[in-house]
Amino acid sequence: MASDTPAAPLPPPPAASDPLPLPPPPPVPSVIPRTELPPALPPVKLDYPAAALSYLIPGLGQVYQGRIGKGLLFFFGLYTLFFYGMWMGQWRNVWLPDVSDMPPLEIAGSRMPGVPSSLYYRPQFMGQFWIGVAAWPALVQFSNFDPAQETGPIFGAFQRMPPEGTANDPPERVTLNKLQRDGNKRWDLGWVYTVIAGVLNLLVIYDALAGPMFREPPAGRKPDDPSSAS
Amino acid sequence: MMPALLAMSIYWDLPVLLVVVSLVYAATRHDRWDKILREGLGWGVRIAGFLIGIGLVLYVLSTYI
Repeated sequence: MASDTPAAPLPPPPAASDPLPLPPPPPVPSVIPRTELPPALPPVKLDYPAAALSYLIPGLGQVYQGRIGKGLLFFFGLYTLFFYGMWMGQWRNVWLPDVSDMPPLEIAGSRMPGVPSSLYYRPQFMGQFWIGVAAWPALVQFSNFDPAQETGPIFGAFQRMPPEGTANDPPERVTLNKLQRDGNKRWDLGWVYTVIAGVLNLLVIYDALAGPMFREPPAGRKPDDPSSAS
Repeated sequence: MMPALLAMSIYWDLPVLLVVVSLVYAATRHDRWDKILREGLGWGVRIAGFLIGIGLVLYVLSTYI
């Protein structure tokens, strides 16, 4: 049975010039999917043996880790700076002084004999110490110091506290007064070089312990390539 | 000024410090050699510029004042 109700008219076909209706935009996710983030770097593994090796000899920890080029750069760079500074100071600007005849350091009323007092009178050694075994002769000289002798038992005058000097010293005697008076500032600049070398080795030790400040992703993974994330 | 610079001076010792500090510091920040050398060069230029600037200021102060 046919209905008498006329059918609703169909909408006119779109003209060729009319734009096609756009699909609704996809919902914006509130959280960026994990696959679109750069892959996270693996957590830092602290390498204490390598740090200890880099303290002993600058760059040795990096060589132990397989970063041989960087290790050699640290070794030659820091030893060049340290021994160049010692050469500028006529090899007499790294020592830990004997303070047995000086007033000891007092902190909060208590006297601090030994190494703390020595560092109080020669704070430069707190920086020089971190170059590693190259500064250990100063410790040997300190522990075996005999004010009646001009040289120490093992290393001779190397890294031994120079005598202060008097007005009656012969001209060939190396004294602290003579070094500072005749050094044309190079003696003082020399110990600055040795301190800088020691402090720079602290950065090298940290590089061996935890890696460089800006780490690279492992080989085969690029930060902007999510497909390479595992 | 030139005779003073050509004389035995502590200023001739500064390039050793500048090169070593720049390269070692840059190498503690990166592992790749291209980045180490680029950052080391940058630090070297900055440190040299600072030292030259300070030197010029001191020279002017000591000469004209």
